[in-house]
Amino acid sequence: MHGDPIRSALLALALALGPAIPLQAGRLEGKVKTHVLKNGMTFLLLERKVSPTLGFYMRFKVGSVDEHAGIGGTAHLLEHMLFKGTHTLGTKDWEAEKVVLAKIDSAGEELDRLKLTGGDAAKIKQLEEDLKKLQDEAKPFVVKDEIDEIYSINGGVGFNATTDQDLTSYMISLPKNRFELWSRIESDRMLHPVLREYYSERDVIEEERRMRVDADPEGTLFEQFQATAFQAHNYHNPTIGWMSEIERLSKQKVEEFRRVYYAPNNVVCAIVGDFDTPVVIELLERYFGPIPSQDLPRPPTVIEPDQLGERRIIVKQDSNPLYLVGFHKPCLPDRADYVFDVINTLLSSGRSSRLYKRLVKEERIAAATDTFSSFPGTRYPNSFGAMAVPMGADKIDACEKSILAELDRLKTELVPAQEFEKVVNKLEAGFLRSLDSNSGLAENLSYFQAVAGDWRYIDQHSEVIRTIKPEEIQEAAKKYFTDKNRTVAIMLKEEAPAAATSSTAATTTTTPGGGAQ
Amino acid sequence: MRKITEFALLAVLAAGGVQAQAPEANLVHPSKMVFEPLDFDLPEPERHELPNGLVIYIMEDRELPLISISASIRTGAYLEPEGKEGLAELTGAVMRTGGTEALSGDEIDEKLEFVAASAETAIGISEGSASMSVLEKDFETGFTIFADVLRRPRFDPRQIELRRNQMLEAIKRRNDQPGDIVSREYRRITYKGHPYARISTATSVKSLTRDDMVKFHKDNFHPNNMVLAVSGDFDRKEMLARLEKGLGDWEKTATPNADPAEVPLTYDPTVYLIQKEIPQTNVRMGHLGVAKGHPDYFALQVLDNIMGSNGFISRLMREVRSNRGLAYSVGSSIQGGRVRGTVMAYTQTKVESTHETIRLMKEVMEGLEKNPPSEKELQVAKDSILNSFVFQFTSVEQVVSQKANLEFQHLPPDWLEKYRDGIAATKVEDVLRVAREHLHPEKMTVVVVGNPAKFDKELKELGLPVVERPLETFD
Repeated sequence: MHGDPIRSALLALALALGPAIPLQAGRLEGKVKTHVLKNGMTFLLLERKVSPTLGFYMRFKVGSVDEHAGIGGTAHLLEHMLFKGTHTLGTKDWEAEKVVLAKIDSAGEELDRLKLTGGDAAKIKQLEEDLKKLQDEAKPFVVKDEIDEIYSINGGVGFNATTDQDLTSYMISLPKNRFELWSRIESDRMLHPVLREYYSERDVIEEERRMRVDADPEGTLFEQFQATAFQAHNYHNPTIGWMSEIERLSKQKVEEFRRVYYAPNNVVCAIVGDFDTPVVIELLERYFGPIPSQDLPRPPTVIEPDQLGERRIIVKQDSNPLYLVGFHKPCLPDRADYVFDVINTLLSSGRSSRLYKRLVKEERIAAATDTFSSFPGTRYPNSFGAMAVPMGADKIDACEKSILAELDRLKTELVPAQEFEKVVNKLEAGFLRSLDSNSGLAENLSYFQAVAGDWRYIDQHSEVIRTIKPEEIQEAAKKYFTDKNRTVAIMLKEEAPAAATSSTAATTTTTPGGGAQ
Repeated sequence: MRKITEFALLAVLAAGGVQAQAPEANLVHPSKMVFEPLDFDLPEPERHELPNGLVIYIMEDRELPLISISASIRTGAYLEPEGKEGLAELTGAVMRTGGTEALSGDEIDEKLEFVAASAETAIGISEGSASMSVLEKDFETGFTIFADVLRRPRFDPRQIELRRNQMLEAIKRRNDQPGDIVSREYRRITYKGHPYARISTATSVKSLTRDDMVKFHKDNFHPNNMVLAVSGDFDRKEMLARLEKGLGDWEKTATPNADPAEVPLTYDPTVYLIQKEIPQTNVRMGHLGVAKGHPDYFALQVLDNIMGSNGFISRLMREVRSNRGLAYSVGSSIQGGRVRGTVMAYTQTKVESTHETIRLMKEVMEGLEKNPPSEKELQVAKDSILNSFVFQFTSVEQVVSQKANLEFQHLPPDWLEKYRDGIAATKVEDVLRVAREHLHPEKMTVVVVGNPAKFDKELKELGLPVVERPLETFD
C-alpha cells in the first residue's frame, strides 16, 4: 500500500478477500451504468447525490498471482511506483531528467547484479557511491510527490492503493467539481508514468514487509500458512514478496510488468457520487480513449494439485499462541463458493455463531474465534479457514478438537432453517449497510466486476444464497473438510534462550499432536 | 440549512469546448485547471433535551432502511478507584454480554443477530460509548434491548467470568505486537501521574467483583451523563416520542460526572528503551500539548499538516520515507481532547537505521522553527484541510454524531465552522508562534521498542539520558 493505515494482517487479508457482499435483489440494478470505451476500459457509473463528492476505485486485473518465482513483490512495488509521477507530473524537466534516470537504471541494475553474484566488495562500494551521486543529480529535477500534493490541495481524501493476489487497486475521493482533475491525472498515470526514485522506494517496501510480516507474529503465521497450503499455485507466495526478492527487484522487470498488464482493456473503474453521466462520459472518452488496448498474456496456468495428506506447521515467535486451520475450496462462480459464504457466517459471525458459542462461551478454551473464506485470493481456487486465540498453550489441542468437531457437525447435521435464515439476514444486511458510502460502493462494484466479471454478482448473490439447500452445506462439508485437505498452522511462543536447556525435554510433550481424523 | 462556499482555488470552468484527443504537449498542468466553485449546504441536525437531561441530536435519513443510535457517555477508566483498574472496561463489556433484567446475554445475542442488528457498549480510558444499528423494521426489537442494556443490565456472574478471562488473556498478550507496546508505554510515560496513564493488571482484574460493577454502572450511567446521536429511516416526531417513552423516565443524577482532570504541563526529555528482538524498531516520541478548545489549536493543525500528519505532503514523510526510504510508516499527530493531548511523532524502521531515523525525525521537527514553512507550504496545508472540508459531511450519520460529539466535548455547536475559519486565517507567523510555544523537540520523550544489539549507534548518542524500561508482564 502507498500510505496508511496500519492494520493487523488478519484485517488486511480480510479486506483483500473482498467483502462478502450480499444483497437484496434489485438494489443496484438499473442504477449502475456500464460504459466501455473502444479500447476496452470499463467504467461503472453510479450517480448518488447524497453529498457533493465522488468516490473513485480503479482496479487493474493483475496481482501477485501473475508473478513468478524471483520477481515476487513486483505488482506491489509497481503500485508504489505509480505514485512517483509522469512525464508532466512530478518533474521540472522530463527530457533532461530521463537522461539521468537512464544512468541510474544502469548503475542500479549493475549494483544488484554484483551483489547477487558476490562481486568485488570495492567495486560494490564504488557503485554504491556512483549511484548515490546520480540520485543526487536527479533530485533537482524532481517535484516531490506532486500527484499527492495536487490531490491534497484539491480536497482529495483517501488517496491510496492496494495490491493483493488478484488485483491492483487505486482509489481516491474528491469533491464533485474535480472530476476532470481526476481524469487528467489518472489517464496520465496510465499512459506515461515514470518510475523515478525507484531504489529508495524499494527500501520502503522492505520496511513495509518488516512492519506487516517480519515484526508481526500474526502476519508471519498467515504467510507461513499460505505457503504451506499452496505448493504449486502462485497463491503460495506473499503479495509483498519474500525479502530476498524485494531486495533485488529489477526496475526493468517492474516496467515490463507494467507494460504488459496495465492495459486499458485490463481495467475496471467504478465511480460513485454526485456527477451527471453524459458529462463524465465525455471526459472519460477524451482522457482515457487514446490509451491503446493491448493483447493480454495468458493467465497463470499452474493448478494447485489436490492435497495428499494433512500438513501441519509450527511457527515460533516471541508471541502468545494462535491456532489456524484451513482447507482448499473452489473459487467463484462455483456454487460451493456461495456455500462457503454461508458456512463462514454461520461459524463466526457474532456471539451467537457456532465457534464463538462453543469455544469462547461454553468451553472457555479460546478468547476469540474467527473464520475466513477466499484466502489468500478470490480469482483462483483458494482456502477457507478458522482460527482461535487459545486461552494458553495448553488449550491449543482442545481448540483444534472443538473446531474440527464443529466442522464435522456440518457433515452430519443439517443446518436448521432458523439458523440459515439468520445467515441470510446477516449477509443481506451487510450488503445494505455497504450502500451508504460513495467509496464503499465504488469499492464493491469494481471488485466484483473485476473478479467475477460482472458487478451484478452482488445483486444476484443473495438470490443464490437463498436457493442453497441444507443438504448442499452438508455435501460441501463432507467434500472439503477432510484431513487430507487440511493445513494447520500453530504459533508457539519461542522459548527464551536461558530456559532452552530445561525445556528441551518437555518439547516433545508440549508440541500439539494430530487432531481429530 | 446554511450554505458553505468552498475555498476554491480558481474560478469558473470554461464551457466544455470539445478537444480532440489530447496529445501530451497539450496536456494542461493541474495547477492551471479551473473548477466550478463548490457550494454545499451544511446539514443541521436538531437538538432536543429531555427533562431528565438526556441530550439528543436527531436527523432523518431516508436513503436506506436503517436506523442508528450512538451515545457518548461521560465516564471512563479515569474514574476507577485505585486498585480497580479494568473495572470500566469490564463493566462496559458485561453491560452488553451479561444480559438485562428481561433477557439473558445469550438471548440478546440470538435475538439481535437473527435480524442482523447490533447493540454494543464499551468504556475506554476517557469516555464510554453505546451504539445500536438495526434495519428499520426491527427498530422496536433493537431499541428495547438497547435501552435495557443501558438502564437495566443483569451482570450475570458467568458472563463476568467469561469477560474477565478474556481480559486476563489479553493482558498476557500485551507484549506480542511491538506497536501495542510502544503506544501503551508512550501513553503511560507522557501522562504519568494522571489517570490516563493507568493500566490494568492481572491482580486488579482478578479483584473486581460484581458489586463493583453494579456500583460503577449505577454511578456512571444516567441520562444527564450522555449525549445521543440518532439518524436513519424514521419520522422525526415519531422517533422522538419513542425515545422519550424508552428513556424519558430514566432518573437523572444529582451529580453528573466531571470530565478528566487537566494534565499539568511537564516534560520528560528521556529516551526509554524497551528491548524486544525484532528486525524493525518501533518509535514514538513527543510530549504533552493542548486541549481541543485551546485558541492555538487551529494553527497547530496547520503546523501538524506541514510537519507530519498529511502523508506525502508533510516534511516527515518526505524526508524519512520518500527521500531516504528509511520507513514505510512515519508521521506526526498533534491532537487534543477535553484535556491536553500530545504532540507526537512515530515511525518504524529497520533495526540498523534506528539511530539515524530518530535523529532525522528530530531534525525535521526542529526544522519547523529553523527552516520555517514557506508561503507555499502554508497554502498547501490550508488548501488540503479546507478543500476536503466537505468530507466531514458525507453521511447523515456522520453529521449527527459529529454534532453530538461537539457537545460532549463542551465545544460550541459551530466549532466546525470556527475550525474552518481558524485554518483559513492562519498565517506563517502564527505557525511559527505556536511551534515556538508548543513544539519542543529537544524536550521530547522518545520511546523505542527494539533490539539495541543491532542498532546503528547507541541511543545515548541522541544526547538524552537513556533509561531501560522493562517489558512488564502486568501480573
